[in-house]
Amino acid sequence: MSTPLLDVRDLKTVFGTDSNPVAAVDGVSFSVDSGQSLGIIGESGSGKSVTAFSILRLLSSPGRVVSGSIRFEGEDVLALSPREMSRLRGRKLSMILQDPMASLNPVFRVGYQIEEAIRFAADGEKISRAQARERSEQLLRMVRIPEPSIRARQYPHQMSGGMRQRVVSAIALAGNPRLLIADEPTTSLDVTTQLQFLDLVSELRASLGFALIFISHDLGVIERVCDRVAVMYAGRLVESGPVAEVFRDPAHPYTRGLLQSAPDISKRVPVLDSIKGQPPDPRTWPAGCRFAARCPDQMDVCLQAYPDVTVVAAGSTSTVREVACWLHPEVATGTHAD
Amino acid sequence: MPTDSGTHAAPPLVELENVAKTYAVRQGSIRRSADSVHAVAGVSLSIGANEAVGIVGESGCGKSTLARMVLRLLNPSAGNLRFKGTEYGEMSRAEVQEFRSTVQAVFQDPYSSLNPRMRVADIISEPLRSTPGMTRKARRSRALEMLDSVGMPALAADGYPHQFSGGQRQRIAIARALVSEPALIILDEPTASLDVSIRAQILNLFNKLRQEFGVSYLAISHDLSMIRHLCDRVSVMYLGRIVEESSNEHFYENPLHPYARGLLGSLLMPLAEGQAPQDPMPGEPPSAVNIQPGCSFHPRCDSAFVLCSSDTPELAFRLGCEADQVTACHLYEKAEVQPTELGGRKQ
Repeated sequence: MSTPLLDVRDLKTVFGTDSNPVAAVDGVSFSVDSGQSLGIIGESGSGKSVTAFSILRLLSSPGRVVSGSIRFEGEDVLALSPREMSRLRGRKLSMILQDPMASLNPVFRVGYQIEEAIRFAADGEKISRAQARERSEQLLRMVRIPEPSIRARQYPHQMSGGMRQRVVSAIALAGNPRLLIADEPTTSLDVTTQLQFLDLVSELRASLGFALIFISHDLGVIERVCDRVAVMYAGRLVESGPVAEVFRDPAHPYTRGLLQSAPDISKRVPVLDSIKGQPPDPRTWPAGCRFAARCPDQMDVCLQAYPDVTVVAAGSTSTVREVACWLHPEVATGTHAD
Repeated sequence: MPTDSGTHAAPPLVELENVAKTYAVRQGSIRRSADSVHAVAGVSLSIGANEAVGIVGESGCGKSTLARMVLRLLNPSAGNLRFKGTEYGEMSRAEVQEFRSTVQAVFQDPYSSLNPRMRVADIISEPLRSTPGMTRKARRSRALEMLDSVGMPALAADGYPHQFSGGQRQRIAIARALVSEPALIILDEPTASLDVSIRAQILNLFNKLRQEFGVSYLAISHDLSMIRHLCDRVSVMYLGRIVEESSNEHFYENPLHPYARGLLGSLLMPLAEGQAPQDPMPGEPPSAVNIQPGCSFHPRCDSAFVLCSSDTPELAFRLGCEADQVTACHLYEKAEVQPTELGGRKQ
């Protein structure tokens, strides 16, 4: 098997002091193949954004990766110097963050901000003003902004939220990334613009061939753009697999709970299914499975030890299904794996 | 049910009649008024006792401006708002007092709507400070009661907002809204900042509180699944106007206006087994500056025809409407007979 584009192994990222560390991400492993799209779903505080920021090495102090490895194109990301890292970001590795207004500089025209990214991506190679302008208009056209030459002369505040997020995408794509990490990019958008944006991302991925890590708390969004999904809970991955299979037949009770609490609009119900309780406090993770306290299928063993990640359906990087739950212990011994 | 004022003894809690809000767009160094934004352009609505009304629409459609006018945080540019039959502008001091304890609000972001320097018990009981003769002790015990009714432990009373998660903070905000025993709570995107599993809990809480205390809700949201499980009636707003209004059931089962259909089609639901993905609705949520003549939705509408760009369709009972439904679209011919359920709505 060829090496995946991105391989994350046993990633542990902590905040807090050395004597009192708080593990926001606590042993997460996954990989993304070239051109693949992985959705990471989880509630706030589950560690999904911290995972993304760890990969991008954009954690702000006191956040730090304390163990595990992150390999991008086989290269150890954690071993790169800050200079090498910033050469990687904005080129092969790019990102779109949640709030487009915070990602854009309010005092510069959007065209200038895209040109800045183009010059950065060119890595010192001389680019004339006309070339940069042409390329930025091309990028704006690519993200379907009508009248790009007029729009390029506008400031972020003159645009709608959906339009701004597309400008941010144009900047992210300026360096022809191999991997794009999108952290809840549609949270601030309307349902109608959200759908347009998601389809745009899918089309761009098909035409440009980048891989995508899409972080969201919205199951419907993940289903729309991703091939695979990884479900995070309390700093761990509890389940991963192809989106359609995981959503049709969730193996982990938490995934099942999430699916059930997504309100169904086909009929009005007096009481919606919800997962009882709150996620655990990251300062004091429970000893056993972190979902045990809220789990309808709780067993004794769940409170004692954290279940290992087991393969429930073997396959390639794009088809394998894994789960970390004591309900699926038979493969824990490794007898089921091929 | 909403009734025409005068036919019944008790007027609705809050009634809006052709309410409009216009903002001037100022330009240049002398700030001359260059243009105007019609944020709300003539909305009529009424909310009765123990009734939940939902207003849905994209950002910029005027739904939050509408909520702020209902809350008396903004004055309308035109039209009338009435609280229990009294014009907003003609309320006496005592009536304003009554209004403030009767109409409460829960906002979108529980991070910015709670004072970070106040303890939870003080946050919740603050609305009671204007109640004469209420001791500190009595206020605190009310706060504890409220914490209990929103499903929070009494221990939370002495904490500060930062010690709680988003869902817990939203419960605190709800407890604060409930403490003055309001008859109407305005919910402005109350679940937008919450996680899926917590959102279901909060929705269940709203429904439970409605049963227990008989409060009415005016819920403003673009979250159609929330409105589905919370509201009895739904109004769809587009560019400052209501373009469709119907009962919950008929909005979700028989949406007529192309915009209402588009909104429902944009909703991403997991597990739509065998269902083909919907195409997104084209276009952007428009700006309310320079509204074009005709139906405001026609530039984005697939079914638009000549009439749509010249003539503004009025919100009316039309062929195809259910008895409790009105729509503002030329695709449906206006019917002669006004259904009784709508009680002679003005528009």
